[in-house]
Amino acid sequence: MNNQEKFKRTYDEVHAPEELLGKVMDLQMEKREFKTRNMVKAAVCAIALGLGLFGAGNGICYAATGESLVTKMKVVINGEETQQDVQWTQNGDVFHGEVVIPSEDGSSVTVLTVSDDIPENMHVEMEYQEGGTEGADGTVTEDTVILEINEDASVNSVAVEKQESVSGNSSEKEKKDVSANSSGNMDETE
Amino acid sequence: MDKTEYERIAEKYLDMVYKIALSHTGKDTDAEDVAQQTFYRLLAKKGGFSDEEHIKRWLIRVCINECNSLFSGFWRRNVRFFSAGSDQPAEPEDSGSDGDEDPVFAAQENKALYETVQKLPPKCRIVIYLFYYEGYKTQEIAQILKMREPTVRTRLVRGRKLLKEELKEAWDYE
Repeated sequence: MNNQEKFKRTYDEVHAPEELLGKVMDLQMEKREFKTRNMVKAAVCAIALGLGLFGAGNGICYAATGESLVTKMKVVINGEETQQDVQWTQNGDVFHGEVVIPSEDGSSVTVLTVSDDIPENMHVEMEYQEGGTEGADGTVTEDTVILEINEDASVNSVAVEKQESVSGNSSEKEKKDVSANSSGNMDETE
Repeated sequence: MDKTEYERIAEKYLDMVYKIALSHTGKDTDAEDVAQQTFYRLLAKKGGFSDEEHIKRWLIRVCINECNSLFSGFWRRNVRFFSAGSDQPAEPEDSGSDGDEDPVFAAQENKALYETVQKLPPKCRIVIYLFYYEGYKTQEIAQILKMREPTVRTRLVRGRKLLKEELKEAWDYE
């Protein structure tokens, strides 16, 4: 018997343990479970990342612009019910909500609300006539109506502010009626 | 790789992988770890094999790589074990089959040969195993182990010499 035969005869008696064969066969199952676990982890991480980015984005926007969340508010303009975006800002404990309602000719009406908290289901009704006011220099300015609305959605005060000038338009002073009503109150301003 | 093919390869080559790992590491616990790791690599492998020899060589190569990784780890390189009552740390590579269960052999001369081979330096051990048991030529061993053929021959000669010195008449001159 030569050396190779002796060697082969010796190592033919060496075998992998039975448990090892079982473990090696079970690797397939472990790999599948590992894959599933990884997929779940990846999905959770993606969702968490998305939420994180959303929150961080809002935070950055808030920090950069001082603005807060935008919510929808029901506003009735000249009897027509509309949904408007309300831009909320916070000043201490007081929240300010602002609605900008663009008109067909480009003028806008701004409604300001002041309350301790963001009111839910606020109902604002308003009527106004579009137009402008001629300034001393001959330019036409658009009027902005500012309403302060209490927490109970009742109108607190009404004011008119001059907006940016609109040049080139014919000057025709018109009466501008704006009414805001959330609890039966109606105000008028010029 | 589909389940059937994996199971076929595992059943056919597990013994071979285990013996190579045992030849390289000298410890059955390490050999089992290496064998599992090798077959895990097989599961993760993308792409198939051209033939049976391709499978065999791939498994041998991966098994040896895993053995090398085992000994290049931080734990192996930096942790030494001391035997009770001894001031000298036991070298992991020279520990042989101490503390492990040796295979049971039918003949005493087989056991003597196995123990002598296990006492060889690991570099000689793997060359001797591939040459005598797997039947590879020195050139093929050089390809598998990614080393020069003269290096393989040197290690083969050295291994034979050590075996002859230890086994005397039980090992023929070559």
